[in-house]
Amino acid sequence: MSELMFKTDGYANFISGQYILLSVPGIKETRAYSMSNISNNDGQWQFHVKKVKDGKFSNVLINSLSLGSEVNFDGPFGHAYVRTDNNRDVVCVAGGSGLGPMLSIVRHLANESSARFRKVYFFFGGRRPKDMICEKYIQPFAKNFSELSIYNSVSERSKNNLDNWSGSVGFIHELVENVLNVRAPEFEFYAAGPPAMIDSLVRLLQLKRNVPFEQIHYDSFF
Amino acid sequence: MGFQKVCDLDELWEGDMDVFDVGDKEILLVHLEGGKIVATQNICPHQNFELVEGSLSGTILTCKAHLWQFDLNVCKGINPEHSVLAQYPIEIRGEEIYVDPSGDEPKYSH
Repeated sequence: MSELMFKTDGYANFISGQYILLSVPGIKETRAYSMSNISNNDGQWQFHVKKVKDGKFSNVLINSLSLGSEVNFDGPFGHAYVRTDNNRDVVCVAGGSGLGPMLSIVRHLANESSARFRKVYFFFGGRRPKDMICEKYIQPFAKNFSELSIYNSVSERSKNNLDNWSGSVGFIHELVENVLNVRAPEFEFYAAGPPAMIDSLVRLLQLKRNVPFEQIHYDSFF
Repeated sequence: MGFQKVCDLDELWEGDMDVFDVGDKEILLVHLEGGKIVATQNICPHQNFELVEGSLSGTILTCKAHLWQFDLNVCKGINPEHSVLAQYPIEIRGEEIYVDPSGDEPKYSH
């Protein structure tokens, strides 16, 4: 995973959890990337970009751009933006590069005056132990909240994984179910990750646990 | 407009649903287990997705797009609770199903 920062003139105006469509020199199509920082006056837009093997887009972003290169943005877009109209405790569920927008939401909530009364449960899923990178980004905000708990799970049940990982093994929605169980409807949920992860999670929350539709926020395109 | 014939009873088995154009409406006809027949709207109140492509389990219909769930016994939302579905009047005449498309209007909610 690489962190990139772009700068625009003026205000970087977006709501945490939103994304932009990015286009880069030499490639026709666009890609959606969610900001990992928060709205700011300095025109700074930060992204977590996963290098995809043979992925021409991520390859240009990570390897071909240099200081001073220019890209185009369109946006911001998205439904999975942070809601501040309620005091519910928050659950973030991130898979892979879905970490970016969930980090943005944690950053936003950490700055709210209500943060010291709020609990945040952060779930992060990846395939292998080496993918489990969320602690260093999320843990620093623990001091802002009344509680910040981080739950990691690796999904690949290979011998190599199991030998090198003492934490939870399985899909991230299974860990969400184990931890929250019947308490799920008490929380406001934000999720970002691969479509299969989002689908399993939303089925669990909405159909099994009857979490009100209005309390679950996601965009499934990663 | 009044009642119009939609189909024969044996075209819609118990546990089945199908969509029909009746008058100016797109109507979802559902034959619930136990025998009750319900005529409702085919487009989900949430967004422009067809409920006929959803899944039916007992009296519960789940839209395939965003998993909105409805209890067809009462045409009301389970999740979200605030949503409602249109309920068109039905008559069974012999072996034929009739629906009055002017008896209700499609509902919308977000």
